[in-house]
Amino acid sequence: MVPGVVPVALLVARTDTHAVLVDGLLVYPTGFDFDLAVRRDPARPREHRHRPRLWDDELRLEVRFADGRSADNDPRRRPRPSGDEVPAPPVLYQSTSGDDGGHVWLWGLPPPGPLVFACQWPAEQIPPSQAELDAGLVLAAAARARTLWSDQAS
Amino acid sequence: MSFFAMPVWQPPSGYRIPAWLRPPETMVPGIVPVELLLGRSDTDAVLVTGLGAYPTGLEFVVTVRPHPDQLQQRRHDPGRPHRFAYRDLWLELRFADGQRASNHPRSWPRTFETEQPDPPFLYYHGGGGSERGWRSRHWLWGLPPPGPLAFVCTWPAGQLHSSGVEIDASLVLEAAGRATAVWPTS
Repeated sequence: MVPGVVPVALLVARTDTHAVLVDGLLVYPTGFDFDLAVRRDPARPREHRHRPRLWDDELRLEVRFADGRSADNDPRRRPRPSGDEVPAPPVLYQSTSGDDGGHVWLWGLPPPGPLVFACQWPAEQIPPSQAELDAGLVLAAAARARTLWSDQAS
Repeated sequence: MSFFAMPVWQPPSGYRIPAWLRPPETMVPGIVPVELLLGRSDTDAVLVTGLGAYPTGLEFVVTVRPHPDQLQQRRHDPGRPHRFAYRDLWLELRFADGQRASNHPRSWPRTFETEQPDPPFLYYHGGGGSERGWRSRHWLWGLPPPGPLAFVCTWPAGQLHSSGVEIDASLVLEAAGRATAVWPTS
């Protein structure tokens, strides 16, 4: 499919040294993907880690729907369906992850109302922070998505 | 100093990727509200999405999606020749004033890493993928002039020969005007 684009980028968190953006929101009838982008103030020196990455070091992200449902990027909480079983949305899958952020797929579209992106990153002293988007923008973008080949449903 | 007493290796410090090779780190981009289908053959489609504009240029993502029938075939092909299929996919941007910018490294000035090139300059940040498709990030140093802005791709392996789409560059210029500073004082 050709996705529909959400025409905004969100500043989810900002400290004196770091900022976290949600950027490149692309929407399909089954869900949406986006970049989780970490920006660092270039005027400040960058610290390098010398030990393996652990979950406790990672940037934590949660997406909350207006009806109370939510999904986060903790791999320990990701559903592991068996066979043809389809997990109940929303499910958040972060396909890439690193010091500069990652790429995220969220299975399921939000209901109308506020759509909240919340993050915290204790390892980088980013406290719990959040930004809201009108889910109507996501739903309108989903309606603009179109199939690439007429002989295929997706 | 003995070998065992060597100091711990430290990554180079102080290096910054030059401003012409990446979007400004201190800005939230203005999003260009378009999704572009550059070309579609029986086997693959090429999209440009995620267009984010800054005062200094335009960032975007090129995505290749295989036809679902191809996906089945490629998944079961033990030789996996599709791994190299994206190597000859090249992109060119054409501006209203006649200038062009290509992501083919041969079109880049030899000193692009150390000396600021004249815009427009289309830098390619590399890409990755699998038999399910391919994704790469690009950075255009310099904003287009008003008028038509064409994205044209050539990709013989994907059966696409000079296929593209045109948008009004004012969409990019307006989005660049919406970019905001992350740290207002910086």
